[in-house]
Amino acid sequence: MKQKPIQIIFFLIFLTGLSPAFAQEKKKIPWDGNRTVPVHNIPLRDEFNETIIPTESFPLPYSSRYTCEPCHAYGRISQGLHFNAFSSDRHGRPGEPWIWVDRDTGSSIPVSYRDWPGVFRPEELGLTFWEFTLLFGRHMTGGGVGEPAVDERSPDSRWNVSGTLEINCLACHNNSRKQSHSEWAFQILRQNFRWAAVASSALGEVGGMASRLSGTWDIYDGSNPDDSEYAIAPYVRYDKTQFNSKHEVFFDINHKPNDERCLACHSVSPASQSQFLAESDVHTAAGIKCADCHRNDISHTMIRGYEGESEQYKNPSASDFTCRGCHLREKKSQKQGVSSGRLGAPYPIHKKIPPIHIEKLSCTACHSGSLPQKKLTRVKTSRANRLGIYGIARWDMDFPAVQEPVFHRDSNGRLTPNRLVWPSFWGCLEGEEISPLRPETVKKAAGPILYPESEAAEILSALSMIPNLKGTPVFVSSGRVYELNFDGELDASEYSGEIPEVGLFWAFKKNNSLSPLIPEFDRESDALDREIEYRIQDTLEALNKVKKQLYEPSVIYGNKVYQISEGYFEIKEWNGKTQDFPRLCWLKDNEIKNLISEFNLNAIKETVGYSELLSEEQVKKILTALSEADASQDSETNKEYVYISNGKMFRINQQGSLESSEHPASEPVLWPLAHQVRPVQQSLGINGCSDCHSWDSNFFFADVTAAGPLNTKISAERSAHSFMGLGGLYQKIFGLSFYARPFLKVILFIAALFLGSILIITFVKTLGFLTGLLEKRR
Amino acid sequence: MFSMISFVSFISVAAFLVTFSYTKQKKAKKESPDKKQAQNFSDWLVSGLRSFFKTSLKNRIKKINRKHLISELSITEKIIWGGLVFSFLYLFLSGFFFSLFSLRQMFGVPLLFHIVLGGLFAVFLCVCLFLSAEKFSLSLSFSFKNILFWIFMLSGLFLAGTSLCMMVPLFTYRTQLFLFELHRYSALTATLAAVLFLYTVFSNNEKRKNRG
Repeated sequence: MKQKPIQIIFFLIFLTGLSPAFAQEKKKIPWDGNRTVPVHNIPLRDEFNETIIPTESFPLPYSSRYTCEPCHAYGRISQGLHFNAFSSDRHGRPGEPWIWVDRDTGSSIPVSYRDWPGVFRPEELGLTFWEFTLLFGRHMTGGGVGEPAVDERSPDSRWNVSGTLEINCLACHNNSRKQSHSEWAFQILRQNFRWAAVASSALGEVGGMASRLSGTWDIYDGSNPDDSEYAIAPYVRYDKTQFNSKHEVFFDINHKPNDERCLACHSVSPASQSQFLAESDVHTAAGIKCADCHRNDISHTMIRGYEGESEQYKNPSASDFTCRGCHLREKKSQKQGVSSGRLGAPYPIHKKIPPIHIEKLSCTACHSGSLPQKKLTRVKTSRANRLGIYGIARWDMDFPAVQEPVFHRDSNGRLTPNRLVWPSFWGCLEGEEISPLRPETVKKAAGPILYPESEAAEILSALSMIPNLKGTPVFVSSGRVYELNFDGELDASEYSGEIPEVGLFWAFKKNNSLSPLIPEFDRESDALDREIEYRIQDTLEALNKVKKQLYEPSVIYGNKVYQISEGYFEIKEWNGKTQDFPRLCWLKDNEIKNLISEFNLNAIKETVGYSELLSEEQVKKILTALSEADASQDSETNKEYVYISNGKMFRINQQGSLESSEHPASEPVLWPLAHQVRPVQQSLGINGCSDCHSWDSNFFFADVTAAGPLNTKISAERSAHSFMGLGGLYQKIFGLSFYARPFLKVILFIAALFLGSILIITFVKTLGFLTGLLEKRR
Repeated sequence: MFSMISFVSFISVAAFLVTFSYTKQKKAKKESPDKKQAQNFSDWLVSGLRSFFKTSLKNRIKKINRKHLISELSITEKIIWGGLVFSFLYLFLSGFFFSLFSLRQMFGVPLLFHIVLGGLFAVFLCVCLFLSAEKFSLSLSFSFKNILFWIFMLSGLFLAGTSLCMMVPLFTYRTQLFLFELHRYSALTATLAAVLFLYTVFSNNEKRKNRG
């Protein structure tokens, strides 16, 4: 009898343990069969599961977890494809990795929580969930690493200030055109994680920046009474017109997200293409939405639509949503009673395409992505090049260089078009292993070596302060004009006019014509022209504001030097080499220095106005600086610093010069592309076999040159066939054989005609003989 | 499926020919079947195989030459028949090797030669037919050998025809798959017909009479 209470306690505990499971089951509301989307008039709830009253003085941002949870199982959704990168052990076919880009150090490091070839796991780079979210949250849907549990938060993080980045359901399902991806990205940048969803959905206006608040700030603290200018605590002002009297908001929800919502993060476009020339995918043109094929149930385990996905994810229906599943009636579909031709998918006739092509090539090989050119096409992707974020500043970047198409065998052995990116990063080589360095480590060691433009920018900025200068100050070197742009960096343009031989020619630019900053004047006269004197004085005074220890800004012309000494303009005799044109320079004890150092000028010449970010000389100096900064380095540890770029590993050899070599870490990272699908008339092979099978076809023999941030002639170069695992010589010979094919066809035609004729005659004669109509011959 | 059918066909034809040869020999020696038939058959088979492997290729060619008066053929005829045999042999080996022993379809250099020799085979086949149509005419003799000859020619027509059809831009993917299967089965038929034809030719004990 004594055991009974214990049994009851255990039973109660058991029931308690089951209750969440029951609750979860309860949420699986089966579809009633109606094809409409229910009207979503629902109350907003904050992260404490309290109903939001928009008229309150400091309303909290809405929480999708608690707002959507009553009807949709948030826990289940959070295991979906867009949120489970770090928690799932099913990695699937390689996709586009996140690319940690740092322009200053010329780093572009492919990272992913998924176990894909060539990518680094964030842990290898010391990236915490916090850093990862700050870096890539701009194109994340929330959830996953953006919403870590308390015990998963690193000490340096500021989750308590920013809040967690919950799944932003509206990022995909909002039908309103007010849904702003840019606003989402801005809020991430400001560390306003918990406010990002409400700001991007336009349900309210968000102000303040969590990034400016102290690390001790908490949502309970509310607004900052001590600062109304800078460290303003984030706040939301709801658009009250969107609330009804029951404090409910109408959510314009799309069950199947609009394509625009998907394309916010999944756009890919050729880098040099005009918008009006951009084509849409044939499926989109036919009125098919992304989500028509990339479907999911409440688990949000989206169908990616590649061959082999059904086996990997144990989801047989996934095979019905591949290209073949819809367009080719395959046995697998028939067995499962699923008919192909979904959404009117036409059956491809594939005239003149030998069946081997259907077996050995993926559908995308001929129908998707950019057509093979002699050089790979450079494309920009939303996530790699930060597309789709609009504001005063330009967010999109040319770097990193994503290229397509290279044809690579997939897990089914079929040639599939891929995009690729060549990694570039600084690393520490120990044995054969390279550990990548975080960009801030490199910045710390390299210092000003990374910023060769800053010296010139500072001087141009100072010169722009010269009064009455009727133009923009510029300098000319090696046929290019350099001027300061809006962001305080340099812009370069070609210049074909004549300039005096003075090394660096300083001028001002007006209406695209250049005039010397200090023009030639009568140097022999005792009194200078006033205008000239003022210009020299103003220029020297402007340069005085530029920090250059121990050196005096001077103008040397003929055998005279013009300086400002203790606030007074002075003209002295110059004993050095006579200058035929007024030369602006730094001077100390008769030692002339150009306003811009030779190293910086060379680096500027090699990088400004080009897609490359670093010069070889810079790399050499940075590698030396890294070695010097690392006190632990000695000959015994056999550790050295290297730079991976342009498909090569760069290191300093024993002679002290930069040398390059191959290394597995410098290999490109590839991922298959699926869209955009081109129409039949633009498919590969439409012009016949020679589209691929010729002596120098772009399909087999395109030049794949490694693109990277380093301006060097030593880039890795390959032919496209090397990615396919096919011999180049054989493909060339095979291509040549197509010149002989017409003859072969003629021979076969004549042979078949001859054989057929004789056989018919023989058949008729034999029939006659057998029937007795013809007499047996003797 | 094709691999299985091919394999079974080759085994069946080989078994048939061996059994047929044995029975024929027994009949020639007027020996009646007895209880030790199985033992006798295996002895015959072993001795036959032993003598086959003992005889050098050179001697065998000489023997065939002597028996079938190949040396009496003109150089043109030798080239034509030799070309036909050589091209067919390569097409057979390359085609059936990939069908029976490889998971991949034919590719690379073997495929390149298969295409080139396919064209040559068609040419040689036409010339041989032109030279021998009269000799193997069914209206002249409705023999098994002649029937095999015409089956081989008919298969050759299908082989050339299907190759041609697969190269012209007229047929859909499904039709091409059908043509490919037709090509393979035509090749199987041609091979079996050729084997049986050669057997009927070489198993004839009588020396060929002088031509003309």
